[in-house]
Amino acid sequence: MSERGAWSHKFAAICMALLLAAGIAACGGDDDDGGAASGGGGEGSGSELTGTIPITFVGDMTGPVAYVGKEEEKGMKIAVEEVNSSGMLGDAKLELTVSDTGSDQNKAVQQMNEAVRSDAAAILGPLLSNEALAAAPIAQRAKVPYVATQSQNDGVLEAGEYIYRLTTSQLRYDNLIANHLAEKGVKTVKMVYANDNPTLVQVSEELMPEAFDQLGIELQQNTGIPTTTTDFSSLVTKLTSGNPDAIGMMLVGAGFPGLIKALDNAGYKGLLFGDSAATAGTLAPAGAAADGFVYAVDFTEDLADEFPSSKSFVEAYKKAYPDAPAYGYNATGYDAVKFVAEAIKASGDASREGVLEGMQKVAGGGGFDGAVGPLKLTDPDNRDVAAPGALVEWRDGREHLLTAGDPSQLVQPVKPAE
Amino acid sequence: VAQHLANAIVLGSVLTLFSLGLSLAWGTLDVLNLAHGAVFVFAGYIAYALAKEGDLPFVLLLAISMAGAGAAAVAMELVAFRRIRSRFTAKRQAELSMLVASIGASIILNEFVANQTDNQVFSPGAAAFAVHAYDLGPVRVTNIQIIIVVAAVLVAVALDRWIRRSRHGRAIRAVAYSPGTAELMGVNVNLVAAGTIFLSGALAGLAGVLLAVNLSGQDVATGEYYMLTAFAILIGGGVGSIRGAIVAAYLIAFAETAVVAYGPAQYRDGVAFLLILVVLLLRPQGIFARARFQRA
Repeated sequence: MSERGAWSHKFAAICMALLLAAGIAACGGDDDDGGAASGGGGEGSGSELTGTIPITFVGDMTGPVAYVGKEEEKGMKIAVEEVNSSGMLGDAKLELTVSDTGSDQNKAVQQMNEAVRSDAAAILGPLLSNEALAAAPIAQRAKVPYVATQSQNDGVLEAGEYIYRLTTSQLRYDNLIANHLAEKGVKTVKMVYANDNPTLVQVSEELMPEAFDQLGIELQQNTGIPTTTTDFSSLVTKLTSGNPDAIGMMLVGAGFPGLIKALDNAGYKGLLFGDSAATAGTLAPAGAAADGFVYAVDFTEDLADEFPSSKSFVEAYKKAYPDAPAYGYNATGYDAVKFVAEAIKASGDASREGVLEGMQKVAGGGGFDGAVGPLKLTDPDNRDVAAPGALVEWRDGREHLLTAGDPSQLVQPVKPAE
Repeated sequence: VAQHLANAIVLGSVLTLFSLGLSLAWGTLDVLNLAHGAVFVFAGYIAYALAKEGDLPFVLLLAISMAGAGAAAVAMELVAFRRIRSRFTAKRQAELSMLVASIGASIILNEFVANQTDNQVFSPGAAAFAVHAYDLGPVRVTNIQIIIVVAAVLVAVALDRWIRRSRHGRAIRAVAYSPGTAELMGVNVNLVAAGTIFLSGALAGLAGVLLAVNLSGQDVATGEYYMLTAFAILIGGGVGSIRGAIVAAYLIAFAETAVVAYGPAQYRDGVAFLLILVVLLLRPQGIFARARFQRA
């Protein structure tokens, strides 16, 4: 071999080595892209987690349900601060990015597509059911762990194994209302409900009538009305005729104060009850007429006296927002982030696959303690949440806890009065 | 039965108050102002914001809210309707353009209120007006309901007489009949149009504030229900006919009340659409329609 030939071989060997190195680097580059494709900004595993772990909230920050999105964001920020300051994930820090859907399905899809292309380790999804139904399959196809909140449509969970839901359906705890009515000796009830809201229809046409039947309460009238109804005068005359012991309203938004005030003006003195949409100060415009109104929620501030994890959340919330009461929307946002953090901790891996593996471990291991109390994850495939819930009474401009749900139950049972 | 009749009269008065302003703008200026519901809610928001900030007497709060609603309507006239009227000579094209412009104005106003209230339910509250109920024989009514009925009657009569008898009313009708001819006769068409739109907005404001107190809570969506019913009233009563609008408002109120009281309440909203359908099939010009120059 000539000297020139030897140099040629050496040059070829160096080139091969460089190519191999470039190839390995390229593979590594794929992994980094996998930040986009497989996600996760944190590095290492177990106690070696370092760097930042991006999570994205594709949320409704403007539009009709912006008030929910903004409240959830408050809870999320508290959870991020708590996780980062406590060293729960070792040296790694959660980094929350918020993108606004404008409460619009098309925009939600755009934002979701951007979120799955980012290096987000997990995505906290939009709130409206139509948005969530469109967003969940995008997360599933991109294999990004996705936590839905607020949407009560079970179709969201059907998208696949990457999809979890962290808002407890009121179907799981509304029996607390029926039990309370029985305890109060209520024998006759009339109800009015929003007949264009699938969850409220199910609550009003199936859950409550069955519970009343078991408790010996006579449901004298069950009237469906459109959500847009604003004039309740003739309805009130119909509801109050026969003076039932209690009147229920399974409505949303402005319907609550309007109907409560109309019943008050009509001189009705019986018990009033409603669904979880009465929370977050919705009853305030009705003033003193709403005092004594009873409804069931997944979270209320007084749960701090029942569950240590609720107490810890309420204390953190009060520190951040001293003048604002904490409601379920804040608690859900907090729990969604805590779930992702618990998952990363469980798997010791902040990649998207690691987060999913961690979620499965947390869900299969009995859940975790959140702002709403002990959270269990149940069917389908331990991906839907079941919190105990609470029965509350609105009085003097705030919620007061009447009964906390039983944490051992996935659905609060009907309990005949003793 | 007496209570249901009283409920129907109150509802009819509410619908009359809401529809009069819409009818006025449509009948005289050919402006089908789809932002009327948004102006109505905007007035309720002004009352809520004023009540939250200060301790104004209700009459003053009502007057400011009406003026604010009227000003919002005038802004629409100056920014959009007037320009469209001057640019399009084809009447149909101008009407359609103004309709689209009013949709845009409606979105802007609604977004403003939604952002200011975080889309939450709002109300002027008991501090602005304390609602009390009274038993009048077999009927129970509140002070705000009595005010609504009286206001509807007074406003309807006054508006009808003003449009028919007063010099300004004749000017409005002249503009409605032929803007060009009216201008040649010395009528300041732009001023008349702005005044009419202001009055239309102020009437929406009157309805918005009284309703906000009566309902104890409204949100951005509240105006939508009234807009849908108002269309039925205007079509049923004959486009631009104030007397027709009043009669149609009470007819729909009695029909809706009867459906809720004695029938399936969920079909209540269907009453308005049934009326639209029947009127369009049998008397498309409306029950009380007259020749155009006799409108209002």
